[in-house]
Amino acid sequence: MMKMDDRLLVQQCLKGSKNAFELLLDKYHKIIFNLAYRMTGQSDDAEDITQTVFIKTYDKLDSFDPKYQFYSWLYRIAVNESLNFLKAKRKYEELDSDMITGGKNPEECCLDNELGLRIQAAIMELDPRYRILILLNHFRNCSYKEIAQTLDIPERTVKSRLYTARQLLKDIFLKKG
Amino acid sequence: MKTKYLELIHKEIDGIITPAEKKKLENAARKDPDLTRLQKELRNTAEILKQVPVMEPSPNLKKKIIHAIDFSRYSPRSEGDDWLSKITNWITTPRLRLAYAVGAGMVMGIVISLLLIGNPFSNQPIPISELYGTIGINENNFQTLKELTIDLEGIQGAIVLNSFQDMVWFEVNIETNQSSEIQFTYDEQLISFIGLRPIAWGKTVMETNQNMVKLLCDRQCHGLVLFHKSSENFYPLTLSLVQSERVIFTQQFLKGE
Repeated sequence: MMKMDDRLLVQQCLKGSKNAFELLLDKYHKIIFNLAYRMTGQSDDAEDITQTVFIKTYDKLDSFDPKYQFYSWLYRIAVNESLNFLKAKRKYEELDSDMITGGKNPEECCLDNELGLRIQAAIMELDPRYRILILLNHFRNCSYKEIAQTLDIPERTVKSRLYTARQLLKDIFLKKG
Repeated sequence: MKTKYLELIHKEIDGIITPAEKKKLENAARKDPDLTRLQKELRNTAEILKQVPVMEPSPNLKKKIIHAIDFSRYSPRSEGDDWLSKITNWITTPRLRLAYAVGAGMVMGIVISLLLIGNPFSNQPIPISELYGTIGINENNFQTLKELTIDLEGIQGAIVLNSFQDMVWFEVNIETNQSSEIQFTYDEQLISFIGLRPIAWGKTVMETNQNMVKLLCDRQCHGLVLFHKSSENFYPLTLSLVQSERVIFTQQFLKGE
């Protein structure tokens, strides 16, 4: 589906089309779930975040500016929601090993491999503000500009944080062998 | 290690390095083993990240989300009413309410006027039955001077004497059970007979001479007997009712009565 289609779907949503929103949901709910999962390391939390993200997205659809990319706007909501979730969670518990490894359900265990678990564990060791850079750049292939729009930060900040995030992740991988 | 080479490594990973930059980086890496090692480690890190599997959410996540959303927010009805709500919002703007009130008052006034007096722009003549009111006449001195009730055997009714400007007239409205005669006697210097205007007067038989008018009355006599007065004063004038050559009623009108 092309990017222009997202804007048309948004227009149709604003005209009351439930089907149009379901199409957007089809297209993006797995992506947002994965983003949330890589941010939180918990599939249950990721599902909750995904649900909240789409509810908020629908509620704010009339404030969406079509001159921007819809996915960029959606990611921004997802990133903010994930960061808010982590902030709230940190108040109540320290990150433990279960969280780092992802607290997986049986289905996920079947789907994941050893490497996947190790990568996720390494990602979880990053500070969230670096983690999100890795997710957007390496998992979503977002350009510096797109990341800057999504996170509402200057492009040069994107670059410097991304470079730092890669260095940190490299060190974590090396440390964990 | 120079920062500019570090930046070139990241640009290479992101696929945005130019050929010139790439050559520059390769030349630098050949001379600097640390740079080569870092380049390799960062490339490996990027390669590792590519191997991260895509996670599958639970199959009912989409359903859960759909059920959690209130789709009435942008319902088709609100879309259909959009233009209506815009008009409504515009109409209900407080600063326009006074203008609406004035406009509504004017429209209502026009409607009421049309209902009461008809369309003023129409060329249709107004029916005479719809004309009423007062037409002003200078020196309007119309007055009733005398009212007589006639209640005699064989003759009943009323005779009223009216005056207006230089005219006087009797309105006679009597009924008789036999042929009768109404006589008016007057001073010919002061008054002259104009005529009888019958309203419901059977057969009109009239006899006049210089100072007298005789009117035959058979059963019903209703009409106006008109005189012209040459001056303000027309008195004296005598009214007589005669039956079978016998005066059964007489009335003299004198000034000051």
